[in-house]
Amino acid sequence: MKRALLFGALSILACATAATVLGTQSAGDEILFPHARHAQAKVECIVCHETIWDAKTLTGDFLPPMAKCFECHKEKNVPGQCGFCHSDVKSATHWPKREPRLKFDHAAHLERTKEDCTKCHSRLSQPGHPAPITDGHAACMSCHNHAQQYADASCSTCHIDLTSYPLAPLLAVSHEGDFLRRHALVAKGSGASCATCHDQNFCLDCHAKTTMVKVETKFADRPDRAFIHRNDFLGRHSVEARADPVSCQRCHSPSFCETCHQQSHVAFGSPNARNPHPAGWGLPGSGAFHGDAARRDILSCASCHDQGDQSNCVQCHKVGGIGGDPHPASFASQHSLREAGSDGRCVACHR
Amino acid sequence: MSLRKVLVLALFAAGAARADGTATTLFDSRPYVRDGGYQESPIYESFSLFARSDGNDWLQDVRISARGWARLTLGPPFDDHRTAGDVDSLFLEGRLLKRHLLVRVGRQLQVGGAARATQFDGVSARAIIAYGFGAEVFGGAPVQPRFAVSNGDVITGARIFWSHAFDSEVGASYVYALHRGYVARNDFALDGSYTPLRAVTVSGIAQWSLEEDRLAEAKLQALWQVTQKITLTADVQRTEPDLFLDRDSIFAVFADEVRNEAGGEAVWRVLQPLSLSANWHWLNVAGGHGERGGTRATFHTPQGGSYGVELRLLSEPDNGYKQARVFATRKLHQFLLTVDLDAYWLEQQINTQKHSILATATCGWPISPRWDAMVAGSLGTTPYFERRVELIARLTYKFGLPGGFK
Repeated sequence: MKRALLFGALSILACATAATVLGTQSAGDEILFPHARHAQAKVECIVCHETIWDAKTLTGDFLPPMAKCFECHKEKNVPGQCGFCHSDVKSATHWPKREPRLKFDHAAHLERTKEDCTKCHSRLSQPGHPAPITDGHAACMSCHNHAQQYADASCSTCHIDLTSYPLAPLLAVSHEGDFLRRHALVAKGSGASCATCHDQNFCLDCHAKTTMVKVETKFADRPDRAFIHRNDFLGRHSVEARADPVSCQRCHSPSFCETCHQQSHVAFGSPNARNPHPAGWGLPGSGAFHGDAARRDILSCASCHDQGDQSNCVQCHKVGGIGGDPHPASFASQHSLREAGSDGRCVACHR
Repeated sequence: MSLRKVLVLALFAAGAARADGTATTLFDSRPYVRDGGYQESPIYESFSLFARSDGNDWLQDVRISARGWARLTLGPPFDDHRTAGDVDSLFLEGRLLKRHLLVRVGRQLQVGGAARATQFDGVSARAIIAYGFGAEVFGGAPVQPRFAVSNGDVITGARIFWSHAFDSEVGASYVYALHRGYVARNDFALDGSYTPLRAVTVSGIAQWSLEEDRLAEAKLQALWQVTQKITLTADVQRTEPDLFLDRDSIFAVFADEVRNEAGGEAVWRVLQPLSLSANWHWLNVAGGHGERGGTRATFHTPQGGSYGVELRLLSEPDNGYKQARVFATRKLHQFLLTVDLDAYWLEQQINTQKHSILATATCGWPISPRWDAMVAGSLGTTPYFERRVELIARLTYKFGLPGGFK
């Protein structure tokens, strides 16, 4: 096991190193484009960014190809002049494709701003200073109803995936780390906050009792997401259930466990059922006595023996039965037989 | 006329409507255990629709959500049913009284307070009254889980709350449920989340079983953002698992169990794309102690890829395991490729085995803005399958009305 842990630690180190290298190697070439000088020369934005005019999303190529530069700078289209635009032409490549993180309709916004790009792009990158090209939230909220959306924490109006952002500013709902275990507390306290980004179908992927397949199957291509039943959960589910039975019970009623165990022929009453109980199960004081086990982990019992009155404890644990009277000594003085009719547990015997 | 058209036409009647949704075909050939190993190969067809309209003067933000599925199994089915199907959600909602009252009717999920996450068929309403005070109520029949049958069950509940800000809210809630005509749940809960400083959030919940006069669950959690890059979390939890059984279950009589848990987590965003996290919890379960811990490193590339390594351990008095996992997601031309290697080692044998190793690879292909496809294959050896093989194929069609998919 030590070897496995050592292997794991080395894997983390190797992957982190490799990932860091992979992630930073593309910073070689830079296009030395002076936005300010082009603006002074009255070159309209649309001259270079033609495709942005009709863009309804941020998916696509909005940066100009090299041929666009040569429409004006014809004299630079000769060997030896690459440095006019490229900082390191040897490592030049295509514009990197970036996943959009915002829902933004340029076409609609250009109409509203009367084609004035500077309403949002108050600053533009200069050679050697690849700064952000907007003021971020301030650019959006200076205009219209986005300020109200921000105040309402209606993030999904603009943002596609908040999980790719750093921790700040919304600490309470930061999805970093083991958010899978933390999220219940957030949702219980202020589910409306969750609803600003996630509709009910998102929650139902995991929480629906009617769902067609487990969410890990549905999104097999998202190994980066945290799921509870990933990969071979079946093999270790008994360990997980013993360590935290409530975590199972929140979503699965015992009937779920019991039906699956029956279908698998490992539950009481199913054909060819195997006896999963250890030796000494019926012997008090054996260390494996079922009474002690039931007090420790009743949900395990329920996962196979929940077929109703005739298949479980009360067959033996009844007045006159071999399991003895299940009522504590003072029970009769505190409860009347009349109460039994209104308690689902009592009617197993007291019909 | 299809359900989809009916729903959209209903929305059009209410005003300008937009709708989008997906139709997904999923093939999943996976093994199951029954006196040996068998391969089940079902084909699923699922459909989801989310339609919305601005509404009119008295009813705003009208929305319809619908999601359902059907299944046809090739070969011997695990649950002895060759065909199956169900509805996950089907509700209509709208806001009244200048958006102060949200009303939702149909199959839905109730979340919050004592209700936990309850899927039910019925009506719910959430009202913002004034100064951050509000109330929500719901009632209906709980949705029957897969494999189960209806017993004439009923669930109802309410929650009142005061919301100081979106990250600071306190609430009191109550839930009452009947199963087979007997009381199944009768719980009261207090919950709260408070952010006194921008960098600190404290939240908690306590749920009391009125039927048993015992604490079913209590949890307290504190988050502290030490710096922009480091966050610490500490939490304690106490549960009485038998109170999560329906109170009409005979098993509730024989249980005597309390579970405690305490621990914390640290998250360190080393660089913007590189995040490290580690967590550890001490467990006190009936019969002894245990622990749960893990560490994870995740790196996101600007191109949308990600790489990760994860180590986990879990121990409880009867068994435990140590797990190692490596995954990678990478875009190659237009394809999205993923690899997931997962292995764990058990402390005690399960089905005479002490380890599980599973490798999964997927390839996704966005055929067009409307269509995308994915195939996945998984191979390994596990305690229940000497050789475990799973094949998945998924085809998704996205649509939008009117004016196409957004």
